[in-house]
Amino acid sequence: MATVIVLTSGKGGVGKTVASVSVALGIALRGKKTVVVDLDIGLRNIDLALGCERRVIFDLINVMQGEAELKDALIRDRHSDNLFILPASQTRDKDALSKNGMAKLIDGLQELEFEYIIFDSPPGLERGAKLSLYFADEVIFVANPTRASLRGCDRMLGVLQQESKKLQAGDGEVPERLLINRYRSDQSGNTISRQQMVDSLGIDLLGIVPESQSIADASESGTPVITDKTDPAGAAFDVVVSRLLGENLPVEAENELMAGKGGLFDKLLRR
Amino acid sequence: MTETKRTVDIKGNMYTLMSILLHDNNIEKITADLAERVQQAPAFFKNTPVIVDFSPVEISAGYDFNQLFKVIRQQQLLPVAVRGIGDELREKMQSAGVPIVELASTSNADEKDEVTGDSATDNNEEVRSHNSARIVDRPVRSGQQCVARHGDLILLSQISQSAELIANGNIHVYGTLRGRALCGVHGDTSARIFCSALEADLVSVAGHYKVLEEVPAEVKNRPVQISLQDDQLLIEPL
Ligand SMILES: Nc1ncnc2c1ncn2[C@@H]1O[C@H](COP(=O)(O)OP(=O)(O)OP(=O)(O)O)[C@@H](O)[C@H]1O
Ligand SMILES: [Mg+2]
Repeated sequence: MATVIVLTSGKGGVGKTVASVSVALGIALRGKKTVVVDLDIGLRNIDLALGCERRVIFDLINVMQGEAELKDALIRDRHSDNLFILPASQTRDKDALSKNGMAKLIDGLQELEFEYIIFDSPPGLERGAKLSLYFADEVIFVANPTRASLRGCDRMLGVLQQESKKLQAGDGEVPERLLINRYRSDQSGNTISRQQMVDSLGIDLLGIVPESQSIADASESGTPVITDKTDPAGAAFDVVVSRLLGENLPVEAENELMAGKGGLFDKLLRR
Repeated sequence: MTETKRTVDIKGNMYTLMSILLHDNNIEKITADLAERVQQAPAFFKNTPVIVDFSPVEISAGYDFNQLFKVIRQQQLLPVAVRGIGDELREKMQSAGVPIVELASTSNADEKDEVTGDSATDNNEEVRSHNSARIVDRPVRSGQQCVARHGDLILLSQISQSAELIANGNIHVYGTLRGRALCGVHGDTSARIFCSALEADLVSVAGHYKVLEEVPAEVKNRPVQISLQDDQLLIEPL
């Protein structure tokens, strides 16, 4: 059975897409057959983040509407043979997404023996976001250390409760974890500490990814930052992947990881 | 699938049952009075299960309850259990296989009528235990509202900022209370709010509200109760 992992946020632009591609590639690089599905209909992004924009022929909506075979729409990633990309439609209306279509899609991916299905959701309460939460086995709430972003996540935690098929049927748990992105060392002004974030949401921490220029560069070059583990953000995503795959790393894993390298990340996260 | 289906489930449910409240132990008088009452609406009472409530009367251990049950059955009512009996009679009834029940709440007479109350905004994860309290065991998130229309609201998890709690009775929060909490919304000035930690933006008792720009230092990060005293909201450490 494939595990459906959904990345979601209340506010947009917090780093869901950046995190989706690094997490998906990270899992694939550890030998698991993985697909990352772009649900941001009309605002396709994943293809750019993985540098396969020229290879997009069919998209998710083509598949859902029976205009293309699933296997023809999947694009094999150039960084790992275990990673496939299912791009969003850039032209279609997002109302083309349906519960039925999603259920069929997930069944189709199961048949192709994917172990992990990563959904990169649109922000907030859009259809694609709610639909993905309906099918989620596990949810990653992505937030920046700002109060607005936190409140957005809190809101989405409530939406998950209401939408989740599993939770509504009382059919097991849907682990919900927080990924703090764009964490900065200068904790002045608009930012809040990681402890405050964890406390106020009352969910477990999946990881902390620092603010980093290399992320912006990576997005432009189409190579996820996780490919460079000497980079603080790349190393942070590697820890996230380990935790997702069930390793029980302590919260301070990020700090320890980088301590040998002059403790750069350690300093970043100390506060 | 080799799953076999269970043959039984044991569940707790709440039912509204009628009771026959006895004000006299004289079976002849009871027979006449009961017949008169049932005559007023025979169809309504037909085959209705009833609890026979002895609490207002004194009865001896030798009381002929079999005769009493017979009289009740003659009126097409079905006695299913008794309540309000002394220890002596209790043993006798138990050995005769007559179930004995007690009300969940005997002190608050006007609460009994509202067992079935439910509210449209309720999410379906509530557990109703006491007559009218509502228990919610998951967090209440930003943008969500949690209402107990008929009594206390008991919350086992945290309450997020810009969530809203509304109760006719008291509000108990076994976590950090952020957001807004309004108790005694139908005007009960004796209602209170209890919480393990106060971070709320607004609290209200029976319409007297207070906006908390900042949590007072003497109650910060400790359990508190909020009550109404002489029209003033009082926030005190517990
Ligand atoms: N840790 C980081 N450090 C620096 N820049 C970052 C970081 N994370 C994300 N960014 C930048 O923030 C922008 C938004 O990121 P991204 O597209 O992943 O957000 P999103 O949540 O997917 O947005 P949307 O809600 O619109 O889908 C991008 O330009 C990205 O390069
Ligand atoms: Mg995105």
